[in-house]
Amino acid sequence: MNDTNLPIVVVSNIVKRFYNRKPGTIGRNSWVIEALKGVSLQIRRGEIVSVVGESGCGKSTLAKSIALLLRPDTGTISINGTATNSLSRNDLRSLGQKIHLIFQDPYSSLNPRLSAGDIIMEPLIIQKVGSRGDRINSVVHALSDVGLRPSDFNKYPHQFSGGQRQRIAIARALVSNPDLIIADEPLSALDVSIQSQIINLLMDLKKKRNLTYLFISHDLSVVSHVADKVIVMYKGHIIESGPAESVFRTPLHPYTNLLISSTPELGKNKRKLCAQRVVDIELGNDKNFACLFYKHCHKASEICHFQTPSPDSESFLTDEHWAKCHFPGHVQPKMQNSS
Amino acid sequence: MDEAPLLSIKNLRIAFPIQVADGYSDLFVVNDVSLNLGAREIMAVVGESGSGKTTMALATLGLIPSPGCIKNGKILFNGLDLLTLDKKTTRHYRGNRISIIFQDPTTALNPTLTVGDQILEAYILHNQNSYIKVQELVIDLLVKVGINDPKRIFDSYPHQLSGGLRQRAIIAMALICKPELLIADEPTTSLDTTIQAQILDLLLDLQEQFGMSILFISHNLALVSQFAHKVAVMYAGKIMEILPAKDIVNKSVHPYTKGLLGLLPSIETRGQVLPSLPGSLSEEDVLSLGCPFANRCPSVKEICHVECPSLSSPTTRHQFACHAVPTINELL
Ligand SMILES: Nc1ncnc2c1ncn2[C@@H]1O[C@H](COP(=O)(O)OP(=O)(O)OP(=O)(O)O)[C@@H](O)[C@H]1O
Ligand SMILES: Nc1ncnc2c1ncn2[C@@H]1O[C@H](COP(=O)(O)OP(=O)(O)OP(=O)(O)O)[C@@H](O)[C@H]1O
Ligand SMILES: [Mg+2]
Ligand SMILES: [Mg+2]
Repeated sequence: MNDTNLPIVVVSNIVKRFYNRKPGTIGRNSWVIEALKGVSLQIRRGEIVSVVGESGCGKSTLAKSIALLLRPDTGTISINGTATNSLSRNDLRSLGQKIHLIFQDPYSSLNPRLSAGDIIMEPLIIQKVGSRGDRINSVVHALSDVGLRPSDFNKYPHQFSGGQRQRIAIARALVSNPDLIIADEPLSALDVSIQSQIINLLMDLKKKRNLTYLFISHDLSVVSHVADKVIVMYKGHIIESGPAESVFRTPLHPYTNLLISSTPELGKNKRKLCAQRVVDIELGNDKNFACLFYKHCHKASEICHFQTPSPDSESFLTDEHWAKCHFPGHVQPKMQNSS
Repeated sequence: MDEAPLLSIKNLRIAFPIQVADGYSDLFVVNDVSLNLGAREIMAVVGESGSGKTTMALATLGLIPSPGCIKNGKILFNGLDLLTLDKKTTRHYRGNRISIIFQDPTTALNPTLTVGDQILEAYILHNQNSYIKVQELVIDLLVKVGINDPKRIFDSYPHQLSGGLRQRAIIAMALICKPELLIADEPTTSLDTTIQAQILDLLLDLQEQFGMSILFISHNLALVSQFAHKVAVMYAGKIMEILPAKDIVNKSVHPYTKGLLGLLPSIETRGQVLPSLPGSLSEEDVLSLGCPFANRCPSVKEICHVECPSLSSPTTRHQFACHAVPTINELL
């Protein structure tokens, strides 16, 4: 059990579908959406794994699945070596206590009837940690860690600004002392001063408590600062994965490249930000292409049309860094006449 | 810009009552804020989390949550004081001539209606057209905000959408009536960089084609420096500095603005402890007669603790409120 290299989370090939069927309607308003289309990953203890990618590509669905709040349709998730598929609800709950999910939306995720102090304290009560006095102390401590005041203890969620609510959610995660924190856009509503304070705090806890993070964010500057490993998702698939430095300095997949190059830069005054549009105007018929990025890719060639790229030998930069692309990094398709 | 501003906020003060030892006292979360937004202009508002940005935005449409209340000031829209309007007239302006992209998605979307119906309703409230036509309009706009399966989104309920899809639905709802003034409160926080760029392009198009003005609240300094014309920096309910966005890196003078610029993480800062502003904002700072930033300021002077600096004249392109910075005249 003391093997620290044992991954804390192993996700293998999970698929998650959502169905929408309005009672009484056939066809018109019903659809199935596959939010995760076979995702596999590992998170090692003490590591910060960051998930980035298109809005709507399944990041929050992945987060909720790993936090054991959603059951995947197929595939398995193991936590600390325990496969979770066949566990009873009770076992799931006790396993889940070691994982804390910070939800994406700081507005609907806080119980409006509890004060900030009680919200932060709740995990301590559930875990039966310490006396009431101890608990209050840890809460006050956590409040100041995230830049809130002791007097905020008795305020209710609606009395806080967006960024302050987000910090209540972070404080709650910190006091619950989990092994794994899954943070879904935890810093998106914070000003840069509070943001850097909290980043420092998270990094410090990682060192001191050997905490593990799954960190979902659209802010690539933050990700490039904090992450050990980066996973890039696109339409329910992982399309690139590797050590953070490697991914940011030598992105392999054209989509990763596009994401990085669309990041705004301080002081550059270019009025038109977007050179390349990434939206299918024809409605949702990308199923016809083997590579999901086909229509937006400047490198798209014939092979991309009919053969799904897999992380085979040609897509590897190193063992650790790979992408699902036929022409990764600087590899260019051979010139061919497209007609 | 010589013409009268489209939106002019004058000496706005908004307070929430807070409990103190002997009863209640007013905590000013927007404290003597004045700013002008010209037609076709994009002004960004950045600043501390909790500095009153959202509250100021909500005030323009009479949406301050109780028990908050406006203690003082005017909000002029085309010369008309929005704070004096009755409910019915405010409703005519809201969503039609002035629209707001709320920071809080739960106030913007009704969980019991499909997203499409809500956007459609926002349009029909102020315009007349056939259902089919409006539906086309909505679908078209959903595509423009970067949604590639608009039919599914149209028929979805808010809880069935990802954070970013929901945010884009709210953006579409705010834009459907082509408002003259758009107030966008952190509109792109749940969007990836490519979609963010696309939405900003769309806003720029609307600004150029229809002369829309935008008040753009954001924490992303890099984004703001590229997208906006002017930037207003807020701290503890006060405006600290207003300057042309392109100058924010090289010409900002306020210690708070300069402090913020030095804190950004990047791939180059990996493994380092990020710098942060010393201390934190306390309630005393907000209630003090002096500058609320004084206790954290590297260039603090004695006067800063007793007298709050006022913002320099609104006619200059670069305004700031700081005792430690020589006035523009002295700089010249
Ligand atoms: N409860 C649900 N019912 C139906 N569809 C859902 C549900 N939850 C998510 N989806 C759909 O699954 C897809 C993936 O959603 P998810 O929230 O995982 O995206 P995301 O990557 O977190 O996006 P964002 O960056 O915008 O938050 C989206 O198309 C979304 O509409
Ligand atoms: N209903 C309320 N009762 C009491 N105080 C409130 C209430 N609503 C907001 N406040 C306080 O008013 C201040 C300003 O809030 P506001 O939401 O305007 O901040 P903001 O600048 O938008 O912050 P953020 O960037 O975090 O969204 C905050 O300190 C908040 O605690
Ligand atoms: Mg999400
Ligand atoms: Mg706000």
